[in-house]
Amino acid sequence: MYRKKEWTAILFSFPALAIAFLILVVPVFYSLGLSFYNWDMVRPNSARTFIGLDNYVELFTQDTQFPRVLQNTILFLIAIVTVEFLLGFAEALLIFHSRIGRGFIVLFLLPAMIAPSVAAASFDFLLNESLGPVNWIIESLGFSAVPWLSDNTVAFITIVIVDAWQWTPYMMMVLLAGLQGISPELFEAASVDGASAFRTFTRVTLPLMRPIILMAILLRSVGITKLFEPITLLTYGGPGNSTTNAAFYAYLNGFRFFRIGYAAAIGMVMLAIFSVLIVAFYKIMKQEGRA
Amino acid sequence: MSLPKTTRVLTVLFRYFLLGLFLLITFVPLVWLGLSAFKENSEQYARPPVFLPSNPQVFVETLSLVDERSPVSLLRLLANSTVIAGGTTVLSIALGLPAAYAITRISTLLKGIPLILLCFRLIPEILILLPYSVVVRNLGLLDTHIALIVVYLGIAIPYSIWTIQGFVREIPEEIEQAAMIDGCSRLQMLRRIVFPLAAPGLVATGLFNFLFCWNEFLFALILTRDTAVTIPPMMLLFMPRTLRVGMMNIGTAAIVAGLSAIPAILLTIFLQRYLVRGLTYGAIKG
Repeated sequence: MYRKKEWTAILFSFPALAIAFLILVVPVFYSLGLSFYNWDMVRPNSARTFIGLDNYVELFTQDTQFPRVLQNTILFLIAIVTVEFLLGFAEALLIFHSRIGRGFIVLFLLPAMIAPSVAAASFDFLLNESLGPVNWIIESLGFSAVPWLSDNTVAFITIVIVDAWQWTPYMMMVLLAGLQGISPELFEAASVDGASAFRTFTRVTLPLMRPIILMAILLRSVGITKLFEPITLLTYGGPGNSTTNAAFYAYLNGFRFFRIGYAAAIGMVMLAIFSVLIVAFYKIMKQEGRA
Repeated sequence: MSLPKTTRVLTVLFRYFLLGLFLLITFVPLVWLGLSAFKENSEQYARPPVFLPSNPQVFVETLSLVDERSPVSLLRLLANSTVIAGGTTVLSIALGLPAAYAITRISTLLKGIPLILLCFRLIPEILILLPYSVVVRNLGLLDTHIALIVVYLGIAIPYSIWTIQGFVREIPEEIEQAAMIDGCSRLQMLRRIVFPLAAPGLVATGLFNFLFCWNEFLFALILTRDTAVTIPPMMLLFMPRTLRVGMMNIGTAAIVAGLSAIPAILLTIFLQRYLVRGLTYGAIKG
C-alpha cells in the first residue's frame, strides 16, 4: 500500500519535476563546466579550450570592474530592500487603517503587475535631464536640474527609485496580509490597557509580524538579485560602471562580448553569494516551523 | 480615546493625505506614459511640460510609425506574447496541479520538494541562459515560440507547485476520504474533487504565471529575433536612446509600452479577487 502510494505520487509529479530539473538544474552544472573553458563565441565555430580556474582567477585578480560590480550588487540589495521595506510597511499600515484604501487595493498594486521594461521606459521619459517634466518642476522651484542618469551616485539612486516604485506594492501586500493575520482582540486589549499607538506598534504589531517581515524581505531580496531591466534600459550600467550589477555584467560578457566561459564564471560566483541567502532563507523557514 | 477630537480628525486627514500621496506616485508614471502616446512630437518634451495632448488624433500617425519600425506587425507581436504566456500558463497549471496534489496528499517521500523548488528561484538567469541558448541554437529552435515556452515552464512550474500545494492543503481531507470509500481512483479524485475545489487558487497561480511570461525581458531578448519576439524586449528598440536623432519619438515607445501594460492591467483588474491571495500565498503559508 505504502509503495503503491509513492509510485502514484512519483507518476503524478514526474513531468513537472523533470522539466524543472532539466531547465533549472542541468544548465547550472553545464554552466559550471563552461566556466572552466575559454570560449569566445565571436565567430560561429570558435573552439573552446580548457583553462581550469583561469576565468575565476581573472575575475578576482585582473578584472578591474568586478570589485565594483560586486559592490554595486550588494549595495543595490541593501538600499532597495531598506527603501521598499520602510515605504511598504508605511503603506501597509495606512491601508490597514483605512477601509477605502483596502477597497481600492488593486490600484496600489498595478506597478507590480506591469513589465519592468515598461516601468523603466516611463521613468526614462519623466526623468530626462534637460527636457523631462520632473526636472522642469525642480528647476521652476528654483533648484538646479538633477542629473538623474549622468551622475554616478544619482544614477544609482535613480535605479533604486524605479525599482522601489515598481516593487514597494509587493512588499506592502505581503506585510498587509501579515497585519490582517493578527487577531483584532490583541489590538483591543492593548487599547484597553491604555497603550499608545507607538507602544502598540512596537510591543504587539512588530513582534507578531516578525516571521512575515523576514519572509517579505527574503522574497524581495531574491527578486533584487535579478535586477536587470532598469539598468539595461535606463543607464546601461553607467555612467562608467556605477550601476552595473552582477546580473547585467554577466549579460554583457555572455551576450555582448560573447565570452561564454567568463560569463558562466560570473554566474557561478553570483550563485555562490546568493546561496548564502538560500541558507538564511532555509534556516528562517525551519525556525518558524514551516519546513 | 483621550485625544481631543480635533487631533483625531487631523490624524485621519493626515493618513488620507499620505495614502493619496502614495496613489499619486503610483499613477503619475502610468498616466504620463498613457498621455505620451497621444502627444505630438513637439509636445513630448516641451517646456513647460504639456500635460494634455492638444491633438490626440496624432496617435494614429504614431501607430503607423511603430508598425514601420517594428520587425513584426503589432498584431503579430500581441499574438506572440499571448501564445507564449498563455501556453506556458496552461501547461504549468496542467503539470503543476498533479505534482502539487501528489506532493501534499499522496506522498510522504516528496514532502520536502516544494521548499527545494522555491530555492531554485535564486539561480542566476545567466547560468540557465548560457547553456539553453546554445542548445536552442543547435536544435535550430532560436526565435521560436516553443523555445521560450519550455524555458518559462522551467521557471513557472516550481512557483506553481509551491503555491498550488497551499491551496490543495485547504481542501478538507474528509471529502477525499469519502470519495476514496466510494471507489474513486487518484486520477478521478484529481479531476472531480481537487481540480474544482482548488480552481480559485489555480486562477491566481495562472494569473501570475501569465504575467511573468508576459512581462519577461531577458530570455525573450536573447532567444527571439523577430518571428517569435514578445513585447518587452521591443522596449529596447523603441527607447529614445536607441533611436537615431531625428527619429526620436517618445510616442512610439509609449505605444509599445501601452501594448504591454494595458492587457496586464486589465487582466489584473478583471481577476483582482484572486490576486491578493495569490500574491501573498507563498509568504503567509506553505
